Amino acid sequence: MNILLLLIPVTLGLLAIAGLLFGWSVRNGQYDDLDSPAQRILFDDDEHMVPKPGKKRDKDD
Amino acid sequence: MTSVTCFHCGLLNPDSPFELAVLGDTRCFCCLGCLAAAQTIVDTGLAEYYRFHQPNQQPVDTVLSDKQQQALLVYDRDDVQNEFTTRAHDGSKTALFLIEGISCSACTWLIEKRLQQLPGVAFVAMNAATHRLSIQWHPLDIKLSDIVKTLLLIGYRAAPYLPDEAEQVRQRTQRQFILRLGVAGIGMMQAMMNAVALYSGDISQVHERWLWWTSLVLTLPVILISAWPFFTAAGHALKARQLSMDVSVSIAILSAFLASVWATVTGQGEVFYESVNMFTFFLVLSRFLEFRARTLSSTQGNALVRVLPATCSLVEGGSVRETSIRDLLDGQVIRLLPGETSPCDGTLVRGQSEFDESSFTGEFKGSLKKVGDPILAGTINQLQSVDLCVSHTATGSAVNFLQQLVDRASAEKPRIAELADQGSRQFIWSTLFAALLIGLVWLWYDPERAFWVVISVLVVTCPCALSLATPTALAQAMAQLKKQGFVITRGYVLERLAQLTEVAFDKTGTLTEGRFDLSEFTRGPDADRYGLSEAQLKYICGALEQYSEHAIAAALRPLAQEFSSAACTIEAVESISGAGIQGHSALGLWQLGSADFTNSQAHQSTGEGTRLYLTCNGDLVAKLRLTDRLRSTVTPLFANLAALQIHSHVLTGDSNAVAETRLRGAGLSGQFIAGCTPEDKLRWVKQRSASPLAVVGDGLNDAPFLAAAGVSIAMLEATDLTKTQADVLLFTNDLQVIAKAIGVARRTKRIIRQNLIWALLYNLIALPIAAMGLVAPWQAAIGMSVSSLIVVGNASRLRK
Repeated sequence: MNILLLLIPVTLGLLAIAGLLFGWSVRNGQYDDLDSPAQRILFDDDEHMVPKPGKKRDKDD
Repeated sequence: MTSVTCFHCGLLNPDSPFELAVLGDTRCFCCLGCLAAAQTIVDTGLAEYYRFHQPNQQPVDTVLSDKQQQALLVYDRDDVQNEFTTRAHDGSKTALFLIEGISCSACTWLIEKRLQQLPGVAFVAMNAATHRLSIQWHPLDIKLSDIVKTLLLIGYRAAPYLPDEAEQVRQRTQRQFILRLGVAGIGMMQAMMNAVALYSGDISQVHERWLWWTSLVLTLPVILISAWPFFTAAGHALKARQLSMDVSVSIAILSAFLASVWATVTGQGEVFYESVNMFTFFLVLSRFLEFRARTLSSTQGNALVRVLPATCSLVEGGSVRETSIRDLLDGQVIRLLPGETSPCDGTLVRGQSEFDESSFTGEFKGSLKKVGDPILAGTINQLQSVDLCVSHTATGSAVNFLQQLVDRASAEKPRIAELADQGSRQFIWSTLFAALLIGLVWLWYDPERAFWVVISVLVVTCPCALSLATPTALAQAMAQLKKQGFVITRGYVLERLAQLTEVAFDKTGTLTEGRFDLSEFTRGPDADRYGLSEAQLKYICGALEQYSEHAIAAALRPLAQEFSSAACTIEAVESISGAGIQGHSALGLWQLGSADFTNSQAHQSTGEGTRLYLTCNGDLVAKLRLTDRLRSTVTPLFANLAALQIHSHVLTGDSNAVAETRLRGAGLSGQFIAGCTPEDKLRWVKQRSASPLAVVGDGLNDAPFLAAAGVSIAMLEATDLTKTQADVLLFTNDLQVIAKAIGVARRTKRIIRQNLIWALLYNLIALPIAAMGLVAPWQAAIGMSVSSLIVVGNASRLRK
């Protein structure tokens, strides 16, 4: 169980890094809009990015 | 496929709606504006928008008047742009805009997509919560006025936005809250893991001390970052010799933390790190939710910023043109129409009128101004068009006018909110006293457990729920109504709306669209005697109404342009409030107005519409008929009001009784009084001062009527003077929102009562249990948080 003496400080260190990154992203304004990003994903406006099976077959032929 | 409501804005459709194929189906639209917007959206390949949009926005008005067109061009000027844009190295500019007309997240998507299609637009980001659009563009490729016009064409109005002090504070506070929440969340979860290990029991002394120390390290940032603002707020409150909720919160957090630190260092006693973290996390969470609910209404309140730059009519060499207020120079002459607010200080150089100086003197009766008299910025022209010579430009008062109105709302807290504040202050006194008493008893009975019992009592009785109960509900209700175009500018409105039993409406411009059309023009019996052609008569009607702001004037004004070939000089034009307008020409005295005003009772004709009579020296030369359509939402409004058991009355300055049958048909349940002067309306309102009454109006003559009523609602098109008297501004043409607002106000009242009862009940039950020592500090923290979250959650039901 003595491994705890080492592992807990390691996790604390990782936690500190995560905390700093979180603070940076908040200050960077990434959390300013809490509403629209959640809904933006619902729009099917990426049709031009979806590979079209029809075209592929054309190439294969 | 026909449908009852407009596919774009959700308003009721007229009998023969406009149609357009969208996403393969034929859809119906209520007006040309909505149709044009939908056409643009479909044509630009963004029809996807309609899959997700919620049709509850304002009908689109895509047709711009000349005045608006010219005003838009002001955006392209460098000196104007410098005020709200920043310039990057590559020459591109960045600006923030406030967008009006956003109803759902689909709108956000549509705006971003549409603007990205424009050449020269480098970056677009739309914030759905605050309705701000951040945009970067290359001025060489696209003009800013074109960007704004593009938005107008798809139904959104944009205004340059400069974050003010309050807004910057709001953004800082929100970021701080998220940081505090995140830190407390991480700390809470880690401390809980340690606590599980500690409570498992099978742990050696060395490991236990090690876990205590690491928990201390974990809790330190939570205390320093997340909980610190509570301590400083408590410090301020104590310095002001007051008790706030923060004081009892701080006592609980600090004593539990310090006791744990003492135990960690000395190796004796108990630690409460997980309770400290959890309590802090849930406290910050409920405060953050309350903050969001409260500021949501204020961020959208900024939508009141004038949509177009403030302009005024500049008189130059006999012609009048629109110019930006910031361009005014000392010595220039500007024209002020009745109902307009003076944008600057100046001296009267033409005409004579009364000015409302109430913003300076508090006296609402106008003061007479003649040529040579000084006019103050911010005073309102009440009678007729005058010219001012600019002496000192001060844009502030006129431009920030609406904002001042809304600021007043937050200053006047509803009484019920103050009561709760006072209540929670007394409550804190009693809980601190109770905690002390309970602590002393436990010290005598079982000193070992005394400490954590006191902490539990403090935490469990934290009056968070009590003090959150009212403000969250009010904020949610106001934000919800604002979204629908019902903008509350004074605090007491919701309280009064809930008790309402009667609503009185002005007719013209309120129940009707306020856009008159000249539907009939007949030359009178004496026209031939004067040798006047129809064109000449029409020109004279137009010329008389040139400087009037009454709804009728708008229909007649274009006649002067149309028949300018028949022009003749009309001088000394004077409007007689509520009756008509008169002026002089070479032929003599011209009068245009009601039958009483022009002494044409003998020729009076009845029937649909408003009748006007034009006389020359008292001889009838023309009869005019103007019609004004009833708004499509009047019938459902009356029905909804009747369902809420509210009587509706109509008071109109119009002497025509024919409208009564039309309104009765639409479901009018109360009185219909025609031919009211402003004084009559005022007397009518004062007679019923005993019963809770709301009035809805728009015209200049409605201002005293609105000022006297318990709740006054002004239409968007209302004149400035009327708006100053209004508790509520309607930013929509959908009148049904009035009935909705009354419903929301009643629900708000109910929810506040539920919240207060719940908060008191919870405290009454939890206190004795905690006092008996049956609640551990961490259980108390959960109890406290759940009760506040229930209160906040209950309030957010109002958003539905």
